[in-house]
Amino acid sequence: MRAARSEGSCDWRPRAGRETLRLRAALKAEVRAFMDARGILEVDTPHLAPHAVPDPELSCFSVTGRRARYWLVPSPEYHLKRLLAADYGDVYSLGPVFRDDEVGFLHEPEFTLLEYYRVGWDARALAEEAAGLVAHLTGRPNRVRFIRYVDLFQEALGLDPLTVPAEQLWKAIEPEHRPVGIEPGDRAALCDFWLGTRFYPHLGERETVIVHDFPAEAAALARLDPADPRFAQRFEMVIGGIEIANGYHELADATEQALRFERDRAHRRRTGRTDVTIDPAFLAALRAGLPDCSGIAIGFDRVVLLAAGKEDLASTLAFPLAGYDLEACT
Amino acid sequence: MTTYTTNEFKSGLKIILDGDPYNVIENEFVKPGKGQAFNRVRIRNLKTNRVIEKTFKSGDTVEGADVVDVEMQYLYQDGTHWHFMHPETFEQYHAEAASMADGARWLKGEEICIVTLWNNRPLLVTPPHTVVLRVTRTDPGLRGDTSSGGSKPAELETGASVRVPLFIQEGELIKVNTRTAEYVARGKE
Repeated sequence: MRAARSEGSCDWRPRAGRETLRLRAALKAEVRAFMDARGILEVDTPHLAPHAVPDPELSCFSVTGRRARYWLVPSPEYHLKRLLAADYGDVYSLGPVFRDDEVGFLHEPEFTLLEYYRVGWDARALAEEAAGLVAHLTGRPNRVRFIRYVDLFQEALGLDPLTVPAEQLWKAIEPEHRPVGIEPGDRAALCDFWLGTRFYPHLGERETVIVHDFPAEAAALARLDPADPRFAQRFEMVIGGIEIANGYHELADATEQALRFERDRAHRRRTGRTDVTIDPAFLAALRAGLPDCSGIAIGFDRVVLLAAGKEDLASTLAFPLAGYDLEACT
Repeated sequence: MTTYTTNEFKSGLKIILDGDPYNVIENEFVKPGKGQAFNRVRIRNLKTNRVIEKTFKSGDTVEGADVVDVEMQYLYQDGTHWHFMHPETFEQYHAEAASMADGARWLKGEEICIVTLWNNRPLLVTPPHTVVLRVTRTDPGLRGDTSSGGSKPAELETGASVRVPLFIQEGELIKVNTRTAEYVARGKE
């Protein structure tokens, strides 16, 4: 074996303590028992796929083989929906996903996602079930508060983020804290700024908060509210200031989905991100017919973090990349 | 000029923002759901030493600052400037009062300080972590007087004042922590 060049400074030891790893393993077993008891089937979905995803704010890792180029999947969503479209019923996967450029206290480029689907359920029912699961796993009280996306803004700023001129969302930020690199007219980015840096950190101190009815512009793969198409049937779960999960009443309309993908691709080109091809198998599955269902993706490492009472994701992992000293260890 | 993207910000990186040089203290990656990612960065203004928090759109680029820390020996003060010498090149540098901040009151001469140079000009002078100075004035301590927590004010040869234990007398040498301006122990030459 080749000796490391700088043996002294390259820390080879596991980061998470034995107790944390034991807890992690126990929580995985709990998840599987929960799913088994409800007849939800665990499926091993691929980690390597021929197509990336066009999410406007997401970068996938590409992998170059000898004859083809693949992508590390950022979510098992497309594969799980193909199972749903083929009538396999409720399914879940618990495994690693990969997202480039996401490293921090709460982000790892490789992390573990628990994603599951309930056929015939709406978003609210799924949010309640998932909140119960997370409370069970983390040992926190199962007290759930639902709040609409726009009401977060109304309560804090007295502004409707969808109808006020975007500049008002900019002016509401103290001048010295206005984000560098964001245009005062960029409504979507400003909403994300408020949500991610100002609202979420204070949510869910003693309860589980479900932020729901996201604006249609941020629908992603959720269906729009048939009664009010300005909103999407999408929600996020926030506990202890941390976003734990993201769920949808799933969009089943293949035409609408293809349209959103093209809009996302155009956005990627405008903002200088890598253009990606759309997975034709996914769209074909939607055309064949996705049953009415809701799905949720739960950040498993963040659940472990809450359960273990840790502050950063890296301390829940044996070998995290965050804080990895590239220079000392090459 | 080197530029850095926000994802390359790590503790100790020097950047220029609004014309001032800053030292990155902490960089937090924030990404709400599927939305725009941000970097919430704590940075220290190297001119004023003030720490501020700035939020950047993730992936934004910022110019790097040519800032280096060099150990130099303090020579003397001429009324307006403090003079330092590089121990290897013997090159001399002079720092203005603003760069000395609170540090000047601990220096009497020959101390090795950290001089932060920006574009090769002194920006900030950090005195040694501890210095040994002579007490030039203090009241004789009264045994048993604990009303003041067992300490009394003392003036040092550089003009700085610190609180010292009651047993310290005028003319003695003491070791002082310059970061906290607190007495550490009796000092030796």
